Amino acid sequence: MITLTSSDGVQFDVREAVAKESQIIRDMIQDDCVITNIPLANVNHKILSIVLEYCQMHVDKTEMEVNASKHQTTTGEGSSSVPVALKVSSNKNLNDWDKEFINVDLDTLYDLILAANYLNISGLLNLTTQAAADIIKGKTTEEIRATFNIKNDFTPEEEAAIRKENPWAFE
Amino acid sequence: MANWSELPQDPLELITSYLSLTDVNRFSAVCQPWRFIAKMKRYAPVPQLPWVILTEDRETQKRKFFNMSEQRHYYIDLPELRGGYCVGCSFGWLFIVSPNIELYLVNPFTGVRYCLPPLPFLNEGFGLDNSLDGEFVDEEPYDEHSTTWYLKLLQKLTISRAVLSHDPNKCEDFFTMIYVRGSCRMAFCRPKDNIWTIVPHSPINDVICYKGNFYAVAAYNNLYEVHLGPDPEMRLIDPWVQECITGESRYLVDYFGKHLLLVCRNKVKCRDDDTAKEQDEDGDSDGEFIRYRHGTRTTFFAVFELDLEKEEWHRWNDLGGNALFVGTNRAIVGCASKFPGCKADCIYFTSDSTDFLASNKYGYNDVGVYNLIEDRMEAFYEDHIPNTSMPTWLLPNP
Repeated sequence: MITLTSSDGVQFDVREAVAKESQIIRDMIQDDCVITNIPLANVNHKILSIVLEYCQMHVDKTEMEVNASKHQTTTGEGSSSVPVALKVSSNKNLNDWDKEFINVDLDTLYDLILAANYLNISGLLNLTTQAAADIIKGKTTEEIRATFNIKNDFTPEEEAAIRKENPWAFE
Repeated sequence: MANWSELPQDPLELITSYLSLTDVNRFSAVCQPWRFIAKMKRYAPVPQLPWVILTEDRETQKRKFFNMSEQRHYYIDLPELRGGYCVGCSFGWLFIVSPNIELYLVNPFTGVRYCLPPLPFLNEGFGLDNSLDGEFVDEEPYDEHSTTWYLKLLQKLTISRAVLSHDPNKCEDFFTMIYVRGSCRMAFCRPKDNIWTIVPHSPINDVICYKGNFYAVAAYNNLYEVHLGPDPEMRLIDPWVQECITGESRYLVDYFGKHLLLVCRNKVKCRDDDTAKEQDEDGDSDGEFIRYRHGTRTTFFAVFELDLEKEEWHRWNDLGGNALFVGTNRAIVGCASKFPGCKADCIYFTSDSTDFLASNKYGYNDVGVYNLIEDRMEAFYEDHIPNTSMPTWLLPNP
């Protein structure tokens, strides 16, 4: 077990495999094999608990698949149709789970993107940035600004020049 | 409090990787940091189905495009497109004949253009046969109206094929190959050439650059290898596909760089007896082809793989789940995973150069989707496409 400490001092005891979903934790553990307590200065306990839920789910699913294929190898069943079907259904479940998981408010999504980026969890980073992209899709520039509460920091001249580059996209 | 404009660079770049060209453009106008990220272009936009270039909006002179993925029109304003007639498209670059018969290659999403050498054979006849109205080519060079009309005729008729050997965004030394209808000859040039080099004796239906060599297909499915250089020539090669040899619409397709395909398109003519007699009754005679009223309707396609090494051909009954986009453009091959919403084993088609004389009544409306497995037609575009400009498939390549 490894203890991860959030920026606001809450400790989470997690299995090493779960913590290692994060590339930076994986690197730390490889560099120093006796490490047991890792402080995470940039992630508060609320976000860290959500991140760990994601990691836990993905590690469990992967382990289930490995076990299933091991079981299949040791029992020597000739046909490969069983594990493939299992894998497909488990991937589908995991995708459904991800979809449900990422259905969060925009502030949480933002914090999850930062955490996934800081901890370097590529699966979670892809999932969260795609969720942000899905919100952007089909919206006008003004709608995007309003949705994400972004201030227009262009001068009117700059904005006109930008729109002139691809006026068709702003019709 | 979330400050989305100040997300770190990596996540912002990743967000752009999930956006289409339209969405990336809107993303880039949100705020300074987002603009900086979009300008870096670390990821290509998510591919959409090819667009179709349509006619010009009469009032604004903007060119209308149909974005099939979004099912909506966009209007793009570029000087070269105003009044221009599009006779081909390769790698997202349009081949445009201007009203003054200047030739341009234009990338409509960047505005970058190449001016091509003046058209060869301008003084030669068009070889239009007698089935056309005599008035059709009646020259009245001293009449201003007639000159305009003649230029429009030239603009519309002269070139029936124009393809590029490579993507100009990736390779600056590419070949442009055109087929000049009246002279029945191909000609090619490179970006720095001042003149076109003519390929002698070369009546063809389509030409494509496949694995670095140009191949052309002509009447009766005759297949040629086109040798470039100072003394270009065409050599008849095998295989000779012995099916579907009578139609006029044929396309050569570079299938993922792995196979060369021949696609034969079968059409029937639709022509109304009464409309043949119609005269200028809409009063709109400014050079449009109101005298010869007919149209065509596509009935089916056949696809053949051409094995150049073994000199064999095989008919394909499916497209391996992929789709083709054919017409006046260099044929586009797409798969459903690459183009979300793309129908598997289907040929998306627009009117092509053999329809150039379609009347305004029929317009360039011979567009649709043909399912190769089920031998079934579907529509993808319902609006009337006037005969003022040929619709062409275009894969945006900014």
